[in-house]
Amino acid sequence: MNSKAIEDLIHASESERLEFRGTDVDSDRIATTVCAFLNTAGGAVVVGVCEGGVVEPVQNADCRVLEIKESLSHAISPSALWSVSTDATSQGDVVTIDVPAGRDRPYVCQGAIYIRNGVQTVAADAETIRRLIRQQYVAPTRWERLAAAGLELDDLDQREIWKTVAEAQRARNYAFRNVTEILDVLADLGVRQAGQLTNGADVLFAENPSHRLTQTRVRATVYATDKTGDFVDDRLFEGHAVSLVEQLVAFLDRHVTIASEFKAGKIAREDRPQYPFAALREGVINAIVHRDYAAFAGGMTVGIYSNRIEIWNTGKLPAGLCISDLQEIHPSLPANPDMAHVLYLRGIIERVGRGTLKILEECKALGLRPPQWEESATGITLVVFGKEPVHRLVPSPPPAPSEQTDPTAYLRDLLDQTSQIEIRGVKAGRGEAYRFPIEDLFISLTTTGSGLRESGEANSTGRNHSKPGLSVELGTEASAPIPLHHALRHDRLVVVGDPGAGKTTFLRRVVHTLCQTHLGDLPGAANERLGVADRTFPVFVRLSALAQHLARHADSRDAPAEDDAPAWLPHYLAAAGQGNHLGLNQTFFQRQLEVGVCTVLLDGLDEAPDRLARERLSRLIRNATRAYADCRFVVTSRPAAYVDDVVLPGFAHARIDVLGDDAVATFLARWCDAVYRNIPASAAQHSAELLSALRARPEIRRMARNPVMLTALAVVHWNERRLPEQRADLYQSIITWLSRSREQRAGRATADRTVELLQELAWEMQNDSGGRKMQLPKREAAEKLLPQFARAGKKRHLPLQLAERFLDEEEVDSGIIVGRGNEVAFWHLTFQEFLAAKAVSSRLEDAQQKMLLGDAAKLYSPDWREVVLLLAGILHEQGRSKVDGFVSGLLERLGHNPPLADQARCFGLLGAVLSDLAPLRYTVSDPRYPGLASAVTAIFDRERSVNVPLETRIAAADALGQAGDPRLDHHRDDYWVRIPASRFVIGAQSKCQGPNYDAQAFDDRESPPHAVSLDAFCIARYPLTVGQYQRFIADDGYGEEHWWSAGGFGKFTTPEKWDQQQPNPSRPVVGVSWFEAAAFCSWAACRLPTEAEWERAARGTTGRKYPWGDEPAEPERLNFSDSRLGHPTPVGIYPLGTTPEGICDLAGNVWEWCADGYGEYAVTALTNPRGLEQAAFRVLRGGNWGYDARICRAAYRIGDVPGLRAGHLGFRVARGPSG
Amino acid sequence: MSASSEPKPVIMLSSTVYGIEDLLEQISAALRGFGYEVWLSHKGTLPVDPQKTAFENCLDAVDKCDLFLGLITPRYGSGKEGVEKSITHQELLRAIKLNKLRWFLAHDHVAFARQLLKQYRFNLDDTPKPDFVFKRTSVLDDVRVIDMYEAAIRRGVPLAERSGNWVQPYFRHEDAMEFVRSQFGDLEQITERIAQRRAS
Repeated sequence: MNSKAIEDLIHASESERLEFRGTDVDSDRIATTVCAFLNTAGGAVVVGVCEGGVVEPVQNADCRVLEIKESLSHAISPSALWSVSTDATSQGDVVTIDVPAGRDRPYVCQGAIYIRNGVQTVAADAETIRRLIRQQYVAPTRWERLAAAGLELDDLDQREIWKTVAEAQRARNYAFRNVTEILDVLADLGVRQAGQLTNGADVLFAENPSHRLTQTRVRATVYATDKTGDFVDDRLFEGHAVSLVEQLVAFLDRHVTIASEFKAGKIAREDRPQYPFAALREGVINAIVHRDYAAFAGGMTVGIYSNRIEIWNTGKLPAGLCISDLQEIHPSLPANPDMAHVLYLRGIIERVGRGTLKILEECKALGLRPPQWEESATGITLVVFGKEPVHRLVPSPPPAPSEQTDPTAYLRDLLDQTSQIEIRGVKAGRGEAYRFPIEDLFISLTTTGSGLRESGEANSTGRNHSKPGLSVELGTEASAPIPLHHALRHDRLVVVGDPGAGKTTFLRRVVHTLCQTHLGDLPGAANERLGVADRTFPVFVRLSALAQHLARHADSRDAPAEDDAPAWLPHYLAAAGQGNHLGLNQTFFQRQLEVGVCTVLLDGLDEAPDRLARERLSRLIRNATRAYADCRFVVTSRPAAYVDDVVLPGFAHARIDVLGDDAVATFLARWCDAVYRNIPASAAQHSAELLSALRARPEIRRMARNPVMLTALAVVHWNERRLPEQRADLYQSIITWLSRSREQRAGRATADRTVELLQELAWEMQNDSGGRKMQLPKREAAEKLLPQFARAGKKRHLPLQLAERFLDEEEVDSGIIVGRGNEVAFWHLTFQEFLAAKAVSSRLEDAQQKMLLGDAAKLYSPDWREVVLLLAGILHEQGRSKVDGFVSGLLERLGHNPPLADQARCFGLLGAVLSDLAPLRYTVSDPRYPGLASAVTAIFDRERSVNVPLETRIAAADALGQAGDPRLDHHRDDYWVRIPASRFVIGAQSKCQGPNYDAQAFDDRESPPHAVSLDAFCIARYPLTVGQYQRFIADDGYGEEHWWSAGGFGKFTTPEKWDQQQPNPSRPVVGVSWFEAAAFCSWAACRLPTEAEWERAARGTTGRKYPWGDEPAEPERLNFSDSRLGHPTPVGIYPLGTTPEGICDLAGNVWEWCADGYGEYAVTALTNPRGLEQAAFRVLRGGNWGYDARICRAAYRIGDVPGLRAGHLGFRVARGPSG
Repeated sequence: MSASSEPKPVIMLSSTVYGIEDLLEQISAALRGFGYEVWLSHKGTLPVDPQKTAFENCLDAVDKCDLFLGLITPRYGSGKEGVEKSITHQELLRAIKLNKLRWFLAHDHVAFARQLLKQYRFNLDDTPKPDFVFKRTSVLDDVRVIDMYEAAIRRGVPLAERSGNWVQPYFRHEDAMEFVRSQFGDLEQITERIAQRRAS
């Protein structure tokens, strides 16, 4: 407000519309008065004025402004238009709160309704409240509030919405309920009512409201004289409100002249605009905000005449105001308060109700005639008069491209483009995108030193680029991961990464940082974030767009002569910039590149449409590095496409690593902070839940190593507040998110259609006549999709082209399929299997039988196993009865008296299905199932299991474990094997044909053999299993110190990788230290066997080489290296490997802790030896699934620290004979 | 009877909150201005027994209030375990069960959705269709808001026995406020109704 206006205000008397307050007034008191103004007739509170208009200056007025804004933003309901500003008076600063009369009464503050009663603010009485409600009820609904027919979220310019949010938070302290949900944001901005977008949303945020509302267009004309008639420029502007303001101001700027004069005694020329731009801008904003939009014939025009500028709109003065009121402080009564509020939050409107005064003041300052407002039947016109002939008769042309060298607009646009990470599909799955500031979400990627190599050819630059023929040294530890941005020290760098590895985001962050540095927003950013000390000019090119440009402009007159000429780069940059009106031309970019001040970031070499295009781009890049030798070049590509002639010689190559645990945790923490902005407690809780969910299953952990998949998991978890426990549900969620996150382009298949097509492709690849295909040439894949495109045209080539185009598009960004050279594959095999299962489930039951369920060869084939399991999950989604039918079908197929192998196979498959469906609590209701479970225990029988393949036995035993394996209960007598008191020779030697000779013996640890006498004891028939150990955990075994007398209490809470072990209760527990084994024994009232007892059990009294005897070790007897299984197996599935007493798994499978401390063998006979008391190591026996036969011999022994935990360390238990 | 000589009548305002925070502020402020004591669970203006859960305190408040004003909005709200009926839903059922002096406002979307979905929710003989599945939309997030509406209009109760089943639809906030004005603006009349109810 100008000084006179504020002086007038503070010298006026307090009234119904004016209240003075001293500096000590609290914000709550101000809020009640603002509420009262809103409910009455509007007004102003001036803080810093005492009675009689004496100013008591407000110290730190700007801070007070912020404080009052924040307070009002929370205190007043519903949200309303007001402004808070600092005004300077002759006696110091005051703070003014301008409040127009409200249009959504009654307004509430601190739970009550206030009104003005003369100079007082009072709580409204019942009668007043009734009146306020009634008046509001009978008032017509404002046009801006009506639902906008046909307006969809996709029609809105989301960038403009987020700019509004950012500005409202930054400058207005505006509180949104939930800034991650765009629909909530729009509701908070008052432009979404009852779930529908309003006309206000259309005018404020639509990409182009004139598609629906032609009246939003604005005509701007430059007339040749002071009369309407001949014109020299005439434009029609379209766009949302802010865009219109910007376009109109630019139009005025272009056409209004600047007078120049040399004053006596001054050398410098003085430039003075002929019009006050601030006033013109205010006039434009007023017209846009206060227009009457209701009539389709309405509109707005800007006319520039030789002596004046007229701004007309179809509005009218609010009731009670006349033209003369506009020239002094007057009540503000906005015609479209919702729109005015948003434009205030957006920073377009500076303060409320002072626009006309500002126009007057600006005109006066420039020595112009006072402006005029004219009201007529058609609308209101603002006339601003000029001094001189106020415009050139021929409009000044836009600046010649060659003259434009200010890159600020270009850099700002680039900064804007890269400032946020857009994540689609959050929450509602309607395709809405959520934008997070890039610095909030970006995590540092790494590359391993060994992954950074250099291709051979010398570069010709002579600068400190990568040296030809030498390995690139990034650090002393070749294999240690280093931050990817360290690789930027190479001026020629190719960043190679798998789909979704984060290549583009990495480049975008580099661009963002360089823009901030170059613009001076954060001068040290490049150095701090990238370790790049220079201040280079960023050039960012998506290579797919450059490839399109090359194809489109091949025949242009101004195109470079050679198809791989470096000049294509500036040619493209100028063309791309022109589309965005950024004003930089080819010459500018050429000069920048030649001077060598650029960092050229070229994204997605693999995204060129075909191999020829990739090779052309590669040549172009190579030539560009020679022509613009002093620039830094960074190129990204997927590895499969970066081969042969595409490889860029002289470039260092950095391969992006998969995400490590720390990076995953960092991303999650940032994600949670971003979605729970300003609510740290909720962010922390969500982060913990999400991390726990991601760690719960190996397949999820594996997926989370990839940034895109990690994002997918985070979004799914956010949307569904959990990760689906059932695998099919999880894959469904991921695939849905990926399909909906794809870039939306005209003519592209919808998300649902895409999934449908990929289902068919997955099925065809899975069901290929030559066996399952995991990768196909693109043409072949397209042919498999032909039936899906057959309706598109009669000629064969058209559907084929469509199918190929579909695959081309999807492999670029769907994340579901990926291109591998000229071939196509699913991102992960499980995606193929899941989608194939979806394809089966989409058919009728008869067809399902034919496709999969009725075909035993498929049903039990390893290639189809995942498909079957995932199908069960999908069927469950369709109803439990569907799974019942599926299970009964399997049992039905067994027929009468089936062989044990068939029974075990069926039971194993059913077990896997049940395990998969466990989160859904599915149980089998078919009465044949319990009988099958009982029959299948025969797989542990030496004779009856002979013809049952090992894999079938494993599957069946796992299934039995999940169903409740009756063998595995240490309370059962037959769980124990009694070994009578005996004397035997322990140890082995390879020196001579003496006692316990074994040519394979390790003499340094197994010798000397010596006699041992043992009392009778009992030893468990099997290694202790996961299911048994689970009971210890469930009984709070880790929490009760008295079980841990041998030590180790409080160090652990579960065995290592416990979540991965639990699905297989009948396998040996592993990942337990000696302390945990000992604690379990205390809890279970048993003990670990001594080493001597263990060897007695394994070798008998005759010194057997293996538990079963001296026959060689082979895969039918034990789980060891030759078995090539690579994991523990269910206990007892090697009946041919048991001791004569029936003790199982003593050889191979898992190492078993013994009670003893490890030491060298004694040379004399011993009775009940217990090893060393104070040994650093404890004895381990039996070998494991990864060791060879020599290690799995019964005499072999090692020791290790008792705190050691690993996936091959388990134990078995023993007890005294009396038990 | 003079309202000012008596304790203020207690009205419980029961509603999901999200998206209509402003309307709830306006209704409760208007009711206070008319002379009522307003209980709002989300504002913590209920009498609270610290020994009880928030959920139990809400239901106790229904027992203790004189008047019950329920808003049925297109947002269902959260339940005790996420799968049970929402707190608002249970408050509504409790008020009906106790035959409280009650008023209901239902957003037009709920009434509209009920009519629209009827063909998918019920067979011709009015039995529910077991395979009906509703996915949340931006205008209605849970089909159970229709259950609330039907409970409020007392669907299933023989026509002759239906009472207290008036549900006022609203679309604009102004419509809801006008209902509040017309129904509760006369404190004396309401006080008399409370007295009659206590006497009967």
